[in-house]
This record gives sequence, structure tokens and C-alpha cells, in this order.
Amino acid sequence: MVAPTQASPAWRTPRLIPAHLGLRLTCALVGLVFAAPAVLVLARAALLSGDLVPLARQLGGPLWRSIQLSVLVSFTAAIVGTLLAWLLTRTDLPGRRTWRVLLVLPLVLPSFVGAAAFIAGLAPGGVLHLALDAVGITPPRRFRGLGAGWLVLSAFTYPYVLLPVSARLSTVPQSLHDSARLLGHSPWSTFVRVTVPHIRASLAASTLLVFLYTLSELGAVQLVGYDTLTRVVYASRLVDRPTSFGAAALLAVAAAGVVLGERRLRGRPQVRQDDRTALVPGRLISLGWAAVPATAVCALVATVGLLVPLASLGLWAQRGIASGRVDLGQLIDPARSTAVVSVAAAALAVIAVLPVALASVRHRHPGAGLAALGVAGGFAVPGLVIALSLAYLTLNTPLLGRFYQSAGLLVVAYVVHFGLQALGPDEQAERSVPQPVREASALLEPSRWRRIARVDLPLMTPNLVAGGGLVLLSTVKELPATLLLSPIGFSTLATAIFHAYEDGFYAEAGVASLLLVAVSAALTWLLVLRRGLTG
Amino acid sequence: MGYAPGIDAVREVSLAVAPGETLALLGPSGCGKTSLLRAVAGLEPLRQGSITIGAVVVSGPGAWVRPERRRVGMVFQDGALFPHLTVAANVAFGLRSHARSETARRVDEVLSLVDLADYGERLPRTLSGGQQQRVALARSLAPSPAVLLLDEPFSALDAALRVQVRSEVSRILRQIAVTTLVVTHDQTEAFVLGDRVAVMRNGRVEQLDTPDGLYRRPANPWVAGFVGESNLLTGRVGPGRCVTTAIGPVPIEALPSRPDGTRLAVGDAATVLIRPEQVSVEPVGVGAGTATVAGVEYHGHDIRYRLQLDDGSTVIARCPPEPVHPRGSPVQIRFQGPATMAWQDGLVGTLDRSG
Repeated sequence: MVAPTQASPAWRTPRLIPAHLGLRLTCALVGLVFAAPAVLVLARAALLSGDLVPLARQLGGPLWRSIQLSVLVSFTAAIVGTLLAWLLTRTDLPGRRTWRVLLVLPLVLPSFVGAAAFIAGLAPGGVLHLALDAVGITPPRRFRGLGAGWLVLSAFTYPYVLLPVSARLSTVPQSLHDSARLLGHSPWSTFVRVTVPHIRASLAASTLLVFLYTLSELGAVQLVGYDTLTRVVYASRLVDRPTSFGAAALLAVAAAGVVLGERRLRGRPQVRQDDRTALVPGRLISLGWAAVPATAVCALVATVGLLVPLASLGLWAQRGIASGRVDLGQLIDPARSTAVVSVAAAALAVIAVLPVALASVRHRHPGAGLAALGVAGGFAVPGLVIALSLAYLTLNTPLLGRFYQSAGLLVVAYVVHFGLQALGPDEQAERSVPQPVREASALLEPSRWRRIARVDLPLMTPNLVAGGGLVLLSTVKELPATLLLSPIGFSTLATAIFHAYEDGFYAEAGVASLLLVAVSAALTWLLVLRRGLTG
Repeated sequence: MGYAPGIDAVREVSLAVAPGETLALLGPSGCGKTSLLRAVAGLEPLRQGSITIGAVVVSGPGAWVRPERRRVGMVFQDGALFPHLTVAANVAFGLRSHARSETARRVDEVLSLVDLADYGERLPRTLSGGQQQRVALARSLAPSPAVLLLDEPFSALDAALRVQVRSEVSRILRQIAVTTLVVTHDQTEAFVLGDRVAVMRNGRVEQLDTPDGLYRRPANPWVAGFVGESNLLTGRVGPGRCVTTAIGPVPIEALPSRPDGTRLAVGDAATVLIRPEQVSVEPVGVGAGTATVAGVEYHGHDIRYRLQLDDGSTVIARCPPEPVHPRGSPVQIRFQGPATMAWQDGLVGTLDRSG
């Protein structure tokens, strides 16, 4: 019970209350659950009996390909994302308001849908095939391998760099540029010595995020037939357990390395926005003749990341519906399943990490940090690895056996994998009930539960909903864990699309893809862009 | 340095700053003073007119020197320290052509000048607002600029700190005698820093004078009101260079002139400037006027009275702290001090319409 005291500066620094035992135990439990899958995979891999040499020989190639693809994609995304961010925020590029929306939109296409759209586009009758035919070029017969994977993944991941870097760029105070110029530095030297240090941390962090994303990617590499570690895990999970676990362990270790690197980068002194900064409206750099190539770059990126995939999906979908080959009713079941598991996962994730948020915001006790690390671990480890681990756990634990092949297990996998996305908003929700308000409500409303219902919850709701929304967005697009853990006969939109493409049913897949893209676009707009662009 | 720009924010301004002099540009917000400063730095283009630094035309018809080549130092409102660099690296930022030892020596030199010799290895965010502003000053002084520009350099500091940093900067500017333009909307700041002060309004210079000249001989009622506290009383021109007002005769330096250049004659209506410290407040029975104390503000070093005259108008007076005349007590007030300024009555309104 919070005892109201004399007028103290409590409203400045919320007084920290020691966390009680129940909360500590809950935190420990949450941290354990989130960290368990990764630990289990590592332990299982470590216990593999002596055949390490053939295993290493077997996994060397996929590991090399995974790293090759991830490095290529993250570098491309870093360069494209930074260039576009600079063009959109610092220059007088014609039509930049429109570009600002268009160039972020590839974010809403799950990369496996993007890869599928290219494959379907190049197939006879596809939009790329027709276009190339029309100009007299023989269309390539296949869309496969490193090049294809690189193109697809780069085209759909650069917004992860574009968004944070442009947010960062627009906070460089004009007076910093002016100072550097007056101290004798040319525009280019000013860019290198003032602007680059300002964006360096966020550029590095977002590039690592893309690296992690590519490393964990399954759908796209499976469709373009590029043998990475994830594909090995997926292909050998039933027939060759040791290989599958070895590859999964390698993935988990690589992911952990990337996350540690990211944390070290974040730990370095961040260049922060100064509150006292005068809001001199920044003057935009005049591109002059360079506006033409700059526009061409934007158009090219938008074509690859947005126009071609949408046109390809649209053409097949339109054809399928017109010929009556696609029964829209077939989509109802997958759509309903997607909605049910995603909403359940979102709600559960928000609730699951709430104790951790509570402990870290209001009590700041060290255990909360450890639990948060566990939650972050769940996000870092590829969804495929979590799924593999949960499947193994349920199959080999007598009491949990009946959860194998259940939608409940799938929801647990989602929560473990995406819980981190709810943690930040949950902490924000905790902070949105200021200490004086808490104290005032304690004086006015004696019942603790009524207090929570009348004061705390209404204040926290917007942030809780936002956190749930982010989890929802991720689960709707999730493929690898869904593929592994879906019960027989249970299909979500993502798995329906994936199987339809694997089997070459382009028309059916096109319709489902457009539906998924529409849902994802609406959620992205509501949760990410509207805040990012207006804020 | 000559200046005669014609950009929208500033019109027909012509100023010359002598070498080593500090000129303050004082005016309400939106009067164009910052635009002027940014034009000197080369951060804003000129549409007409020219700017000369030393013998070089840096902005003007057919002339344009890029900001980084102007040898202009500037201190911004927010300091604009590079947050990723240490204090020493910030100060060294503009010292590019120097050898390393030479750079280090110069950094130490200017940091000692601003009394922050031991702060070289610190990051800007670990410094207080006042220290940050002093580092910003050191950084702009390090390359020995031909002209130093200060843009509202203390406005981001809180009141107590502002006074302290202001005195400190004033001392430094006098010590190194760098040609300086400082922009401010704070009259005290302009007076403390400026050898001369240009009062600006609506893109024009209303008056350019020493602080003393501005205070004692304002060019018009608007400047009188903007620079310091003032009572503007109406009365009639009397014989012997004075204006007869409700508080008695007030001596004036010269007879006010009409817009056509002729002087006012005895009996014409006039507005006269009376500074609060030129009003003496005495117990009933001695002086010429009669008033009632309507408000008392006790400041310690003096007392500020709000006095209600018998005709209903209000006069502000600043008096020594004793005796204290309580609120409601009748007093007699009169003008005391040297001759002051007067203008044709109604000039205030005319000026406001023209602005």
C-alpha cells in the first residue's frame, strides 16, 4: 500500500518500491519460459554424440551460404536505406511526400510472399514474363539461388533501415550543420564529420536487425531454393534429427552473437536530441540536375519492392477469380485460423511480459533485467528454432505430450518469439500512470481492484493495445514456426500461401497473398507508420 | 563592415562595426535581427545590398563567399556542440590546418580563456548549460575569426545562470577585443555586452547609439518604451524649454520638431519622457503635484511605486528604500534630474500606423 507522504518531490522520481516475492517469482518464471527454447536446442546439440566431424562437414556449406546471404542483404539494405533516408529527409527531391509513403510500403510484404510474387511473375503468364516477352527479351526460366534471394530479401528489408535512419536524420539540429560550415568545413566534410556520427548507432543497429532477419528467414530461401541453415533445419527435422538440431544450434549461436553486438552498439554513448535545441527549420539541400538520377533510384526501388510484386499477385488473382478457378470460400478457414491464433498470441504476449515491465519500471530490480534479457532472447532466436525446440519438448515430455500438434503450442511459440515487441509498450503503459496519480487514487478509492479498473487500466490501455498490435502484425506474417507447429489440417493464411506456391497454384496463392498484404498493410499503417510519420 | 541588405526580413539597414567593437542588435522577436546575423554568416542569401568583412565583399551583387570561407565565428542559442565529440575535439573542430601540437596549444589557450581548462576530455552532455555555452564560445574563437556572431547566446539558460555567464562573456569579449555582433531581445544583455546598440523594429534600425545615449536620448517614444521602463506624460510646451505636465514643469533638452521639420511653439501639445527614477515622491505639503500610492513593490535596493494622479493617469516611480510610503497614502510628486526628451503629442500613434 502506498502511503501518501508530505509534499515530496515524488512526482519527479517515482519512489521505488521493493518488489514483493510473488512478482519476483513471476518474473523469473517468465524469463525462464522465454529463454527455454534456445537453451534446450543448445543443450540438445551439445549432447549429440561424437559424430561432430561429418556434421560439421554437412553444415559448413549451409552456414557459409547463410552468412553470405545475410551479409549481402544487410549491406544492401544499409546502403539503399541510408541513401533513400537522406534523399527523403535532407534534399528537395521532387514528390518526396509521396515517395516517403511508397518507399516504406515494401515493409508490409512478408518476404516469402515477395519471393513468391517474383517466381509467379517470371512463370509463363506472369507479369514479368509478359513484360519481358513484349520487349523481346527471353525471360529467365528460373528465379533461384543467391542472386534471387539477395534481390528479394533486400527489396523487402531496406525499410528497416530507412525508417530509423530517417527519423534520426531529421533530428540533426540545423545549428550543428551551420556550426560546422562556419568552422570551415565543406558540405561533404560536414556530412562525414557531423551527420554520419549522428546516425551511426541507429544505422548499425538496424543493419544488424536486417542481418538477423535474413539469418532467420525460411520461406523466401525455401522458395528460391537457396540452401541455408534454416532450410537444413526445416528439411531434416523429421528425417535427420542430429543435423536439424546442429543447424538450429548454429543459428541460435549466430543470432546470439548478432544480438550481443547490437547491445554493445546501443551501450555506446548515443548522440541524443538536445531539448534546448532551437527549432530552426532545416534548409533542404538543392539537388539540381541530380534530382533526375535520384528519382530514378527511388522509382527503381519502388518498382522492385512494390510495383512488380503487387502487379504479379494482382494479375494471377484476377485471372483466378475471373476463370472461377479460385473459390474465395476456401480462404475463410485459413483467415479465421490466422485471426484466432494471432489475437490469442497478441493478448497472451501483452499479459506475459507485463510482470517484467512492472518490475523494471516500478521496482527496477536487477532480476527484471535478467527476465527482459530472456524475453529479448526469444526474439533473437529464429522462430524456426523455437518451433523445433517446442516440438521436441512436447514430444519427449510425457505430461506435455498432448500439446504436440495443438494450436495452443503454436500460440506459445508466437508469444516466446514476439513477446519482446510487447515489452516496450508494456513498460510505456506502466509509465503512463504517474506516481502522484497512483497516490491520489489510493486516497480516493480504497479498493485496490476498483482502483486498477478505474485509474490504471484506462491510462494503460492505449499502450497495451499498441503492444498487442505489434505482436499481431508479426504473427500474421510469421511462416517458419507456423509451418512446423500447425496441427494437421490446420492452415493459416501464411501456410496456405506458402503451400499453394510450392505446388504452383499461383492464382489461389495470389488471392490469399493480397488478403494477407492488405491485413498487414492496415496493421502497419495503424501501428508503425502513422506514429512514425506524424511524430 | 558595411551592410545594406534588401531581403524581406530586413530592409534598408546600414550598419558599420568598428574593428574590435561589440555591436548589439536589440529588438522584439521577429524584427529581423537574427536574419541579419545569418546573412552576415552566409547562412541566408541576400537579394539586395552587400556585406563586407574587412576589405572583402562576402555577399553582394556578383559576390558570394561560402560560409566556411568567411572566417566568421558563431555561437548559437543552443550552443550546437557536437554531441559525439569531447570538449577539446569540439574546440579543435575548426582548427584544420594546424599541426597537432599547435592545435592542442590553441585548444588549451581558448579553454583557459573561458575558464574551462580542465574540461577538455568531457563530453558536452556532462556540462551545465552555462559551461556548454562557454565551450561554444571557445570553439568559435579558436580559429581567430574576423567577426564573432552571437545569436541570443544566453536565452536557453535559466535566469541566475544567465547573469553570471553574461558577465563572463562580456569580460572575455573586452579582453580579446574581437569584432562582435550580438543579437538579443533582452535590453540588459544588449547594454552589458554592446559598446553600441542598434534597436531594430520591423526590419529597420530605429536607433543606433551607446547604451547611455539610448537610455537618455531615445529617438522616439517607441524606443523610449522598449529600452527601459518609462512614463510618457502629455502636457503643453511652456516657456523656457520645458513641458508643463500634471506633475509640474519638466525641463527638456530641445524643443520637439514636427514632421515638416519646424519646431513646436509654446502652448503646443507634447509627450515627455520621464524615467521612473526621475520621479521624486515626497510627503504631502512640499512639492507641486498630488497623487495617491496605488501599489508598492519593495525590491530592497529600491522601491517601485505605482502612483495614481488626480486626473486618473498612472506614473511609475523608483525611489530609495526609505522612507516607505504605504499603499493609499497621499503623496506629492515632481520631476527631478537633468533635462529629458519630448516629442510632438500623437507621435506614438503615427509610428504604430507606419509600422
